[in-house]
Amino acid sequence: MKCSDISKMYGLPETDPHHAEVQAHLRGCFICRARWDDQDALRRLIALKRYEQPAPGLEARCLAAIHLRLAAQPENTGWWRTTLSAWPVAFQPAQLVWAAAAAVLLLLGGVYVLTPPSGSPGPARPAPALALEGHILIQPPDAPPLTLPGVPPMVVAASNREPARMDYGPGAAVPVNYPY
Amino acid sequence: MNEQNETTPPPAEVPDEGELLQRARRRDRAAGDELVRRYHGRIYNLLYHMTASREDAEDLTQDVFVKAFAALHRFRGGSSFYTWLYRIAINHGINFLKKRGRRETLSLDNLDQAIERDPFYVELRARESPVREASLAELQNKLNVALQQLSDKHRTVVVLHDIQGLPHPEIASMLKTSEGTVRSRLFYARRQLQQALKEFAP
Repeated sequence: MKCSDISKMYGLPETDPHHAEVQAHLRGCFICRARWDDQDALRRLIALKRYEQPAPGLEARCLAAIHLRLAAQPENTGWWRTTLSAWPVAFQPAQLVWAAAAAVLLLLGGVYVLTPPSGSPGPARPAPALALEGHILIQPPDAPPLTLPGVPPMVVAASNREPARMDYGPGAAVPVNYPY
Repeated sequence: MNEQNETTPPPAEVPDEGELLQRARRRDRAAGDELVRRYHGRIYNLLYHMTASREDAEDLTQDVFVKAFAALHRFRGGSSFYTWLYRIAINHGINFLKKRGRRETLSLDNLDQAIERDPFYVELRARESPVREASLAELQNKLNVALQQLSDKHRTVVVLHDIQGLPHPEIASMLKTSEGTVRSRLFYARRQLQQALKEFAP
């Protein structure tokens, strides 16, 4: 350790790992020893200020003033803050992130478990006899002839469109001429 | 032995700090009061040595606790409560000093007469030094004037280390700086103090 390093070590506690090294240098360097002692004397002189004592009754005055000032403050606590504060463990932000991640994973796991696999048949549903898409009636192939109460029977005729170029989805798509 | 155990009163139950903080967060007044009782003395001393004014120090001490209680929900235990409170006090004190600017008049606390039994003071009085002639009040005044001549940052480390006896790592944690910076500030502050107090210090 050099003399210039020693000047930055004043006030080093005995527990510091550099303490032994500093003491070894001081034993061999008269100038550093003298400076070290001067610094120590100065530190002890400044430390005499600790004998300055506050006026009696400081605690009572502080408590009274703090009570008054806290009572004058509006209570600004949201429900989330109250809930977090009441929690017996004070979470670190990193812990909160992990907790949130765990909650999301649990939620996703729950959704996965409750959702039936896509290959399995769903609940039995009767096939619709008739589906209406725009002005096109779409009938399943095995559906009975179309009759609606109160509506005159519709005439199924060849379309003037070109069905080959149109995609009507599953089932036979039958263009309908409306009676007007 | 047994007799002694029977006559010894059970130790008074000291509430755990974590529990006190939980209760204080729920605005439990008794818990808040206990925290004030525990730390007001040290916070007052810190602010008094920073400002050299007992009135300012008392007002600032109240401010620090009011601020701390208002922000208690943000304290998550990353450091000790004491370090966190000190940090609030240091920042509040430095902000106050910036607003106050230079003020020559000091408003000093009374000196405890126990100083006359302090080994270093006794040694100083015994030496051929101006302390032998100076009254305690003069010495106190000199020390305070010298300390007030330092910059706020340098004064803070001197107060924390030389007066309050805190170790370098703790000061570094409070000031959110490195130990090297703390040592360097102490070195330059002491060099300045040595000049200001050369008649008392060797």
